[in-house]
Amino acid sequence: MRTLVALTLPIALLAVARGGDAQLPEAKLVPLKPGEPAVVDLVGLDKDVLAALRAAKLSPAEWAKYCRVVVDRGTPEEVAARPPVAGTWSVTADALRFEPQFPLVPGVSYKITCRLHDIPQMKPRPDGFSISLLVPKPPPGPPTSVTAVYPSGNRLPENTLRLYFHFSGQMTRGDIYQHVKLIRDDGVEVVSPFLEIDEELWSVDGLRVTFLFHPGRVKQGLVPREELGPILEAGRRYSLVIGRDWKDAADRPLAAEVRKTFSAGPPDDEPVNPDTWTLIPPRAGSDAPVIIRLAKPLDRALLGSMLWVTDSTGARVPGEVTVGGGERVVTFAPAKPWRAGEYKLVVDTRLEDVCGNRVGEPFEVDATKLAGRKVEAKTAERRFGVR
Amino acid sequence: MRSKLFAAAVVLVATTAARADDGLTKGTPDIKSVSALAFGPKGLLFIGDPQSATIFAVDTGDAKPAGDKAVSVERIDAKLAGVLGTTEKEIRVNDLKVNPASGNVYLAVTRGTGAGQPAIVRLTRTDAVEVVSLKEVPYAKVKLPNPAEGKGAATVVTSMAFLPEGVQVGNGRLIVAGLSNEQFASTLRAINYPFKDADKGTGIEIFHGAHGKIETHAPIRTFVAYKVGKDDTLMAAYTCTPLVKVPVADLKAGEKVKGTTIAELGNRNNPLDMIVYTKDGKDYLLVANSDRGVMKIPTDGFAAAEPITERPKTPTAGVKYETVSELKGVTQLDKLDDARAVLLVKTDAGLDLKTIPLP
Repeated sequence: MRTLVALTLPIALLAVARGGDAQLPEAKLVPLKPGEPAVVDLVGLDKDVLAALRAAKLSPAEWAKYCRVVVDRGTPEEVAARPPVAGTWSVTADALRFEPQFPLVPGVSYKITCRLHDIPQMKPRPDGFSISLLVPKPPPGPPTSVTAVYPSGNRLPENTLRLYFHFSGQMTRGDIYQHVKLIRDDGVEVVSPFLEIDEELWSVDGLRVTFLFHPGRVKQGLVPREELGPILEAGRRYSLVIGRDWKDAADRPLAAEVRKTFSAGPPDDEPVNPDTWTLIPPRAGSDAPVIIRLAKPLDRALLGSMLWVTDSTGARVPGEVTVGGGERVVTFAPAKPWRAGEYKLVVDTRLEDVCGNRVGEPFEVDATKLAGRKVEAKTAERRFGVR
Repeated sequence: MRSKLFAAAVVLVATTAARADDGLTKGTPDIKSVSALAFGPKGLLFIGDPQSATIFAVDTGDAKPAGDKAVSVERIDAKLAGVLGTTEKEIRVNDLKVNPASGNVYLAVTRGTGAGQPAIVRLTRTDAVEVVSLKEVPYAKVKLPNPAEGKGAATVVTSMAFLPEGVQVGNGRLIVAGLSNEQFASTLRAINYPFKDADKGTGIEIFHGAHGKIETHAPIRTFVAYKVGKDDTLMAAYTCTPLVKVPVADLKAGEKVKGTTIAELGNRNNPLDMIVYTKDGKDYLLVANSDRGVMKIPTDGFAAAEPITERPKTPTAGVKYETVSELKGVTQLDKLDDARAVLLVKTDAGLDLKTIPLP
């Protein structure tokens, strides 16, 4: 009789576990630490099962044998062949926990399979389970749009080198060059106008991308230009078109196509020369900016970092640089009102115009004059007095 | 018991001291993005991070030979997506390097759309796909002084190579080719390793010919270190594919260096990756290109090659090459061992990883 009880008891327990099949564990995404991926807690498992799992002290390799999270997409064969999502398994007070190495992706469905019955240390053997988890997608924000295109002027030298596109949100990457077209005034699309750099030149915040016109197509006599023709020709008009088909990071097309129309002017091979700038100094006691009118538009991004103001002691004056007027006007507003005295506007000589000409050095240099020249962080200065 | 404890303590001290020597400290490197990889000795992995304009050196602990089985994974992008918990279209492979210490293949991956997250994934010689943990690992880092230093300025590291130097194993120079998103000039740097704060290396500008006398300081797309004669040399390839040799001895901080163009490999083309290898006693460069396939270039003519200083009359000029016609869609390559190369191949379906005998 006793033996019979001993025999039936496990069966009864098993039955409970089977009955529990109707209440499969529930997968919950739990954010634990800011900056770390949310963990998946499988709650609703029997306390005894959790205790036995904890006692089993499985190694990472053993966990990988019995429990896995897989991206649940495609045919069953594809799902079966897919390697499991990288992460670590553990047991908490009330859940079986999966800590993914990378955050699970909203909109992606995952299959969580635990073959608990195959774990030899588990006695009695509980049932395994396989459940699905779909990470909900947050409601989409407003669609992403192009917020600026630089140079912003409507007349560009035909040897223009660099363009910046600014976006209101993150964009998809990988095939960016196919979404931007340059169309001449006769409707002909300019073939491959951009230097296609597979690394793609994004800003740190991911909201700005740099495009370069192919420099080999700018000068007469270069092979790329002879094979493919020039990009911009002085006297003609062009439309730069950023297509709606360039999708944002949420896989949505841009809010609107952007079309920048401009005319091409003669090439600019002149180095940047701060001596030709006009400075309008502010009055002492005011917090009005010093206004700098440039002789030609300069690079939008570099203007933000390669100009600053020092006082008579040489100390940098705290304040803010603003660029406007088609990148021909720069203002520097001090953090505190100006004190009367002598100041200097300091220019890093690596400041470039839109064609890549630097302060004192054109974009293209005569190679015979290179010998002995150094790459130096030099500066140029313009003095101004505040009265 | 006591002596055992003592022994354990001694071992601990010894390991800490070893760490101090190689300049690595244990921690979690704050890697924000990854564009290029290079290996130093004993499984030391260099990671180029454009977003933080930093080079990280991480001890992978992967220094034992992992076997000599060929690696071959169809749709490696799908496998990478699987382990990284996402879908194929959210996977970008930025670089591929073989760890010479183990023979395992390392991939620099961006996961997700937009800026995404960086991941280093290892493909073992048994075709297992593993995410390399970057938590609590021995590492060091050096910041690349950004020429622009603007808020949005980033230095995309396009290519790196480690050149051992000196008698101490592990010492050397890391050559880093970068591309600024705000300046056109190539930012080539030679950084001493172990990294020292004071010695960050200054940018070197390399000029090359082929456009007549007028030259631009164009960015290097990819390069490989190679001994031409007795001289350590960088063989560098640029957009529109001039092949340029630059003596390593010339790479001094702050210098403007003039490279010698020895070949024009053709227009409408971007060089993507290159390796150097020896076959039947002869050395070759193998160059993967965006539009002109994979080129095999014998190096025996490099030392005596006539510099190209004028615009050539033909689309290609200088040292001769052959196109390896059976290789198509190759975007990355590295030497798997002395006889084989591993390739990342773009197909209509996705990305395949395969091993080939060196051609």
